[in-house]
Amino acid sequence: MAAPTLTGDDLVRAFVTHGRALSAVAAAWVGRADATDLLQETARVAWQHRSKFAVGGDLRAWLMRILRNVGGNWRRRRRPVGLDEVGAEDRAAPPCPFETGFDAESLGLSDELARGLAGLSETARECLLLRVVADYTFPEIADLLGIPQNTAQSHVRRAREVLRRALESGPGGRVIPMPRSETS
Amino acid sequence: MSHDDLDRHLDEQLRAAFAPPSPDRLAALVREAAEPPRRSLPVPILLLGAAAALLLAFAIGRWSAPSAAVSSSSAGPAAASGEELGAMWVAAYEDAVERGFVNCGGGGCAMEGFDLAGACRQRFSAPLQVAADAEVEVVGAYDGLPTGGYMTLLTESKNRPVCVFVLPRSEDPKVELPPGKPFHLARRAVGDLVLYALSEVPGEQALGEFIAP
Repeated sequence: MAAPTLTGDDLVRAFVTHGRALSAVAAAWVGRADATDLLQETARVAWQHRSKFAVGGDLRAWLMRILRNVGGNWRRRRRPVGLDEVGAEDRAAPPCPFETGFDAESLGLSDELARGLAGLSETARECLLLRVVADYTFPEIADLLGIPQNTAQSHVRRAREVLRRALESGPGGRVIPMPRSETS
Repeated sequence: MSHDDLDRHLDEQLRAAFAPPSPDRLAALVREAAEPPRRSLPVPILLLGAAAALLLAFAIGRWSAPSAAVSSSSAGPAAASGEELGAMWVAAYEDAVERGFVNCGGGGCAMEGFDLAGACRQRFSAPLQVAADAEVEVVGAYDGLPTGGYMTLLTESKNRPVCVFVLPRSEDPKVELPPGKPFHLARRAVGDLVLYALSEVPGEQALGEFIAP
């Protein structure tokens, strides 16, 4: 007898149930504006490879792995296929010194906070957003990202320090990011 | 401000900025992604279909005033290049804004009571609509200067005017803005269609609200 495979309804249910966490991690990789497209691409890849998922396994963890892989590829390409911002005005603006492709400016955050976020590593942003936006506990974050619990805690603590400094620096203030070796 | 106050302020900003899409929207995204690829029809059937579509478009253009407004007055040179389209679209955007955008007034600019889903089905045989909880609002279809023959939607996102141009993905020439224009052009593929948002602010978020149900 053939093993049961993931159905479209299973996938929809998983995205709806874990939408907050998946969305937070997608935003950590590509920013809020592109997060929806990254989620959809994740769903497409998951559907394409649904036969590889053992029904009854941890669907959230499987989707998160796919999301992070797709997010990594997306970042390497800098922009997703089928989505490219071709505006002229922002090209003339001075680039954020710590900008690495994360479109923090489009988030509607204060400039200081956006700069601070852009200076964090993906893992630090993932930990912070899973904790704050998705309301995950540290054991849950550690489990989901496959990192030790105290590493997840350190990421959030350091990310908060960076962002607090960013807020305190006020408009036009320069944000000093954590060294990459400490945050990734 | 204490650390606790700063953290509270920080959390509020992060929660607001990174709020997830609604469950309905997520479900629509996943269903769209999980759709099986459409099979191509045999060439003779496609040709017959194209001929029928042409006849239908002609008939509708002749006898239906609202459809004529969308398809004929916005028509321009066929197969314009990306640069040419960019220039046309900027002119149309400036024209619409100059004439009040939502209430363009005399001479016609925005069609009232525009049915986006119906127009896309009729024109592209492709579904397109705005998500139920979207912040972007389609206020009409532009009916003024040439826009290359493509559907031009007048939308408002966070009270800012945004023109959204809709074209079949297969005809997308990768539109570029003319140099020196202080506008943003964002692009997004939705099913078989490609949408471009032209406005004075980045338009990715507005485009993210369009779905193919």
